[in-house]
Amino acid sequence: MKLSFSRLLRTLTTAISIFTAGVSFGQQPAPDLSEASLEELGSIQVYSASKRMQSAGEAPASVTVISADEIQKHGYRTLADILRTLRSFYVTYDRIYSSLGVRGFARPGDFNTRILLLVDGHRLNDNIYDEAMLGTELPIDLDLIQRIEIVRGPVSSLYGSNALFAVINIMTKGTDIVNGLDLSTEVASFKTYKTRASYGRELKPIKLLISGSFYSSRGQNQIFYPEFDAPETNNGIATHLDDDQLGTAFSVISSHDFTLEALYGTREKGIPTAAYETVFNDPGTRATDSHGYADLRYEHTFRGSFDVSARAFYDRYNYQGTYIYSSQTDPRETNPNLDFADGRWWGTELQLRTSVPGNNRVTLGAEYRNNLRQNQTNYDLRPRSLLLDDERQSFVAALWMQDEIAVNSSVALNLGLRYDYYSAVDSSAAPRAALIWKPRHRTALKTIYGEAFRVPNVYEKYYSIPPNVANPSLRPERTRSAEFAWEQGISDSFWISVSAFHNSLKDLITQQSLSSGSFIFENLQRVQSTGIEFEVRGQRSNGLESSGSYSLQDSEDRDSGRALSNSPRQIAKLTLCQPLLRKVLFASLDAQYRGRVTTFAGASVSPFAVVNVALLNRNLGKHLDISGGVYNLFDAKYSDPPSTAVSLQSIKQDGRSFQLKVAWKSGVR
Amino acid sequence: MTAPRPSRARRVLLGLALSLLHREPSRAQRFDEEQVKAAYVYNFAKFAEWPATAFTAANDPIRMCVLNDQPFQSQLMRTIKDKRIGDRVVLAVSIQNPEQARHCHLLFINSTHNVEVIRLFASLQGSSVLTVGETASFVDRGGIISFVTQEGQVHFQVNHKAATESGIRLSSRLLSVARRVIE
Repeated sequence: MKLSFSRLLRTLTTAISIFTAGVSFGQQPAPDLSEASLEELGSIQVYSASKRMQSAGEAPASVTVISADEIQKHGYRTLADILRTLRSFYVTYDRIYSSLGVRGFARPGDFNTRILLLVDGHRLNDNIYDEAMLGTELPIDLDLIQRIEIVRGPVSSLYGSNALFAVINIMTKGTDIVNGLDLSTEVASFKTYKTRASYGRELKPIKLLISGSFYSSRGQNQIFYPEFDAPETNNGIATHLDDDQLGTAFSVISSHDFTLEALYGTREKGIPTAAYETVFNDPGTRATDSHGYADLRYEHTFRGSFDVSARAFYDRYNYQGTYIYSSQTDPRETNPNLDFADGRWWGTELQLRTSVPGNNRVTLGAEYRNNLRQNQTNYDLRPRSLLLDDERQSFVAALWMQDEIAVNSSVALNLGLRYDYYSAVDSSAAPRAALIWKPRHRTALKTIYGEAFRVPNVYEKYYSIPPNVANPSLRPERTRSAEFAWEQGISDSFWISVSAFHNSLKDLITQQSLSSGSFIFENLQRVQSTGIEFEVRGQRSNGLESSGSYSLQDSEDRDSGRALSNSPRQIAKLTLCQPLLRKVLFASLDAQYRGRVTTFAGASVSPFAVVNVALLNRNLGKHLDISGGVYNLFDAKYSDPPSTAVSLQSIKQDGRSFQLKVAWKSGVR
Repeated sequence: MTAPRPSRARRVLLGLALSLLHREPSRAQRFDEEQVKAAYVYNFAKFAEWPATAFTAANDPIRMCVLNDQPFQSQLMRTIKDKRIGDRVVLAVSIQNPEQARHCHLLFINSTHNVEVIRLFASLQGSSVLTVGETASFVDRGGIISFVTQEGQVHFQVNHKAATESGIRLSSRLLSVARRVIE
């Protein structure tokens, strides 16, 4: 393994040096077309590149854009489904929440705190666990998403805390897409049903969009956990415990430069894994997460050269967990333990953008967030006793700037700096620089350096229900990341990208087990990851769109010298979409491979490959779209590594399942 | 667009270093389509005259907007670097939604936005925005200038009527080079 990795690196370096040598001798100055006459322009021979492929080359980071079109064609059911198809990303599911790993990095039980999730620019990570909700727990319906931009690497210079490994920005649909009534219904395996109704209308000068959806799933009827295979724990079979319910509401009203957006989602999940050492096979153990916000934004262009955007928002997040334990006093009785989190915050943001003649685009921003409530409560019911009542408040104030400089026709420089003041932990600064060089047509070379940070959240600092121990002296963790990316078009419709990265984390906040059997969050000294990614994207004249990627990485706990847990060395992805009838019928496939993973407890989880397929018939009778999907087509048996919450070796995932979806809209596309 | 041979796709990672040494034939005579279009867009602005109400001062910049197309906006920014038209500097501005177009003097709308253009034109009624599109039907539907690519060359068509209705005067030189003029 080690050998093949270094050989790959060597091959890459050789390829780059040969390539750059070729460029420096072969380059010729590009004539200035802007001085050409109209007649001359008409006589020039041109070649064209696909917009989507080109935009990847221009971006000052490694960016992936997923459109509503792809979501529909591939039959993705959750944001987690989408993310698991992306280069270097891997998703694990512990039957409560989905967790995302990026470039070899996912800490067990970290609730995606190093991923920043935004909806129309509004931060969705809550103020207690910092959790980015990616599975069915995401409080927005996938059908309302117009596009998703995923930026890899640290972007704390723009967004502050949490933007360590990736920023996921969800852009919702407008009334230009949802125009009139828009309905959909889904039926899927495990007695899963979903219904959505949306309505969009433009009543000049007001635009209005409202939508609501309800999702319900019985889940697996029975799940066998060999760790509990004993007569007193139902022979290891968890019966009817995998249910999942989600309700969402979304509305946008906009007029002139103002947009008011409101969102609410609440999701309840049964917990079949006997998490936190609860009684096995008890339907009372479950968790509910609710998140809602109202966000008012204003966007205006002054005197033709100043773009101003401002927003003010109020968020509320609630969590309630019920965990069933056996009573200490009477073994026949149970003792429900109730766990609460109550988060409320408001904030405001201001952004100024101006294009300075001389090819600079400067953006200045300021942000203030006031955490009105960051409360955690926990009590036992039998006997009634309060175990935790932690009330906190804090605020964050930040200033940031970004400068995009076009140095000349082939070189662009992107500089960013952000300063955050945290009332609870002091201050942090995060710089970022990206240099993009396009030495010739269809070639882009990018060098990116960034630093990012994450401040410990109140859960990590103050949650002290056994077996957890509080650690109020936690410090922010920091990461430094360097990336070199090379995008090369072989033809206009066939692109290759290669990316090499090195991430180093200092004072990483991670859950450690103490000799007493307790868990504590600590600033672990250092973690280091090095890796390389290859990706090819192609489009054939018959309409076949394909992409494939392979990533190889090595993550190490620098203090123990051991490989990092939860970190697969190899990941491979494939997506294909073939139109069968132009603009009407599409067949899609996506496949993921994840290499072996060592769990937090030291066990090993086997590699697996999963293939999903989908078929979409669009514009049936002008108003109807019908789609169907088969997930885990070959019924692969695979498991995910557990978080620290469960005492299982690994968490078994679903086998083959089906989905059928019908969507109807009053307007014609 | 040429489709890659599958065999090449399979061997591409191994043959990467070699394939990159291949020089594209006749590269010197060919240009990126976007680069040519950006040069055209700059020329259109040179040969157009906006009503006085479109500017607040004599040295106000000319705002050339690009709807949701970062690569083209970057290309345009490179093309117009350090350029002036009369006393005015020229700006290449990226806009994300059609509402922001009211502040533009020129608006480039790429072919992916085809479905939205009718609504977009309706919202631009009464303002003096020189709309530039990429499909032949763009001018028929009320756009002012659209590119047409024929045999690897980029030409353009003009809807003179739509220009006049927006209060924009196009020079006779521009009209004489156009492949088609709707009066």
